Amino acid sequence: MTISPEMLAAYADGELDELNAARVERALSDDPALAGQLEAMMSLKLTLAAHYDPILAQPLPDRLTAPITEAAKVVDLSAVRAARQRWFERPALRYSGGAIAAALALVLLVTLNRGGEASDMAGPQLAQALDSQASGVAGANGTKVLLSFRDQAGTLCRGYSAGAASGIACHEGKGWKIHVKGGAGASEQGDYRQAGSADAAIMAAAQDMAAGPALDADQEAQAIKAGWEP
Amino acid sequence: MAHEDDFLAGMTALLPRLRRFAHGLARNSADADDLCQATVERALLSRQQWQEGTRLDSWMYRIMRNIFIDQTRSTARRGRTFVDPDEGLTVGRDGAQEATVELSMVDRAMAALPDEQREAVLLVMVEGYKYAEAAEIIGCPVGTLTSRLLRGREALMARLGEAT
Repeated sequence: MTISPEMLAAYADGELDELNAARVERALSDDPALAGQLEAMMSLKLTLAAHYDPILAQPLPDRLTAPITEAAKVVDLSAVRAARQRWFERPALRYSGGAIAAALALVLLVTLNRGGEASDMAGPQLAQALDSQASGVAGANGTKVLLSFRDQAGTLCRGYSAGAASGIACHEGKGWKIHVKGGAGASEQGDYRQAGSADAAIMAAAQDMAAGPALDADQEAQAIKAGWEP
Repeated sequence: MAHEDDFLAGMTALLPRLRRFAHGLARNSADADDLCQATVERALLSRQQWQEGTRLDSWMYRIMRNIFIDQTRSTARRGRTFVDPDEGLTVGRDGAQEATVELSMVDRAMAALPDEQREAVLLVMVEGYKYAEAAEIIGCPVGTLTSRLLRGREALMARLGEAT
């Protein structure tokens, strides 16, 4: 049988089933001209590979990798929203909200002390991070701010995780007053890494305190500039 | 979010291949990296549209291919003339450092192909996609893909046959 150019190309590209591949192979053994065409096709493929494949080994320009690195740092507000939604709307949690809350309290020792008694102010390292760091970016001293929001009174508050401690602090007077104290973040829990469980608890506590959605990056940048005055 | 990290890690892993495809589509390496950067930025902006569990590579190739086609069309609308690959050793519009580019035989032969044949050749013969996958990236029927591929391949063999 005669082999069409389409069929020979499909053979060269590995697109034929066994039956048709066998047909092409029979024809190739009988027809030197056809075999020559196949050889030309394979040689073209090699020429293209030799031309384009070295690009794979080249170092990537910064302008290609930088946007991805940046995206990894930016706090993903939609993810924060989704996490909150899950907290309240996932049916399993709706039925067992109390049990989940109790489990989180056990793991994280979240202690609410809203109202002023026994509350304390953030230390200088934490305060500096809360003053100046954007959410989602790990700071030099290991403090990561998770999100920023306004509480019911309009005060600006920020959820954070700092090494062995996590919590929520609100900007009151000249400093940051800690309203919620959590336990260790994922990185401090040793071998058993329950990724983000402390962060999730802080997010949930923030949801309880917040008057609206979390600040976006622009609003947060303005707040940093304005020194977190309400 | 875990899938967010997967998305960004997957994207980083794809960059060398996307860059190879961009270098095949565009006329010089500065344009190729512009195209690649535009693809990364568009993909980051529309990441909500990517369906988890579907192939990230096809999705990103499709974005790059669409940006390239859009750019080519708007260039044509602005009345910029096609650079003849045989005379066209000067490409790049600013007359700056990349103005004079030494094009290899392969570059010239590829540049002489219509865009639709060039992308078909690149996706199948360089990127190694199956016909069905390449057709899906382009958004055309498989039969259309195979006939573009055949014509592109024949034109390349005619141009490069003697030289290789």
